[in-house]
Amino acid sequence: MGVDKPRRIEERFVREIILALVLFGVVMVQTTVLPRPLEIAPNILLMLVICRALVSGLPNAARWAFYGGLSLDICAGSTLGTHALALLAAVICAGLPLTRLHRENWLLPLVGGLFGTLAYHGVLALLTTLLVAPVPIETYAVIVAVPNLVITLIPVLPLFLVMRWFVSRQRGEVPMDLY
Amino acid sequence: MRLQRQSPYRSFTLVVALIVLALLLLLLDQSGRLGSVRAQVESFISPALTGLTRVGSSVTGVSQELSEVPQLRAQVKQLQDENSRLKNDMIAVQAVQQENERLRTQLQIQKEQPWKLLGAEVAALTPDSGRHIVHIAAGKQQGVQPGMAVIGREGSSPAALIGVVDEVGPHSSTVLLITDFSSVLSARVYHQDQVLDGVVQGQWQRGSRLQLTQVSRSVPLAEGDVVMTAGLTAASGLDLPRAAIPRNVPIGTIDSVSTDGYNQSASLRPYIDPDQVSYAWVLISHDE
Repeated sequence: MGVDKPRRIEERFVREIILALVLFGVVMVQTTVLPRPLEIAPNILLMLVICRALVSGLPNAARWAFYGGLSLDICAGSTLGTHALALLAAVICAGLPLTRLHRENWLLPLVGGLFGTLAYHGVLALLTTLLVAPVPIETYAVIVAVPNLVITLIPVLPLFLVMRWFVSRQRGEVPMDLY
Repeated sequence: MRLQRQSPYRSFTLVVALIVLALLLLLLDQSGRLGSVRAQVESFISPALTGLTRVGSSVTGVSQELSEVPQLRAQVKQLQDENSRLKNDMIAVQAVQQENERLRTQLQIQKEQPWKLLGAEVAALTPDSGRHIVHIAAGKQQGVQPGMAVIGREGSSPAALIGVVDEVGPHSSTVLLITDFSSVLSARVYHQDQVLDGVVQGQWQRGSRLQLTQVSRSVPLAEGDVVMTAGLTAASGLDLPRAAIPRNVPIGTIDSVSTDGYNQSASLRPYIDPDQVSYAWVLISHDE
């Protein structure tokens, strides 16, 4: 017993490091390689954490949001914690109101994506206003938030389905769609 | 199955802890206490980010180029159309320049000679070797009549006779070239200060160009003597087609001389080779 517990902690620690590195890699790809049609970059990390929140619950998604957010801050040069807080807000807003919905419901990713993206950009705009300079809300909504919302909602459903399938497979469940 | 197995509020501690941690990091970074650590991390990942950004730029470039293909195609089509239009314009300009050059030549001839000229393109040469005629793109509608002299000018040569209008259509005419066997014209030879009359006949079918015959032996001809039209029909006031040919239209120069009984004859070198003429002037009228 005395040997097992430290070993589990080590394993968890290594797992967390690997997760952080993988998310860091995702963020690097997002901030560098990903093409930007019409100057709007698809926010992969945001989609991932929203889907993660809907599929696996808040704690798991919150870890992803925290690691990924810090990675984004490092790669984007923003104040450390800014994107982490925004992503955590997205996770909470996407996950909490939909807790009672079935995971098999196809509306889940769309509604979750809507709430999550709005929360993400809301917190980001608020933090930018507090830390950098006031952000005109209407302009920000039209130029940044709405286009990003659209570009997030398009791939969020297939991404959700893939993640749901993957998690179900891990748990040995059979996914069943509800219409 | 519900979204979560356990209550979200039970596991909310972790979320709150992460939010607090993020806020703490935010405050620390904002106050500049993480500056050195952050700088080291950024310098560590900077090369990788630079490399990936290059890859991203090329990927974006390729996607942009692909998206620009229809636009580029439209642009190529537009440029092709413009190129075609410019080529047409250039051809038109060249045609105008050529016409301008011809009009200048005509003006110069009219300034030197008391002639009124009508310019015409040589439309076609005779299709067979039996006759030596050309078709010009001017006819009755333009005032051309049978018997009118047709002159040409090439290079530094003077404006000289190349033929006589034989048949006239509404918009085209047939010109019998002076080198044709059936072309016979009264001519005048200028030898020093003396003038001799004769007849110039085409010799093309006989292997030569022009032959001057029936010239009196009173004055010996010499190589280089100038031969011009005599305009005898016009001078005699006869209402014949050839009356339209005025005198003193240059024909050529004597190349070689031979005697024949009481007369002498000469081989002529025309000023203009009628076969090489691409533009000619019909001598519509003259002031003599």
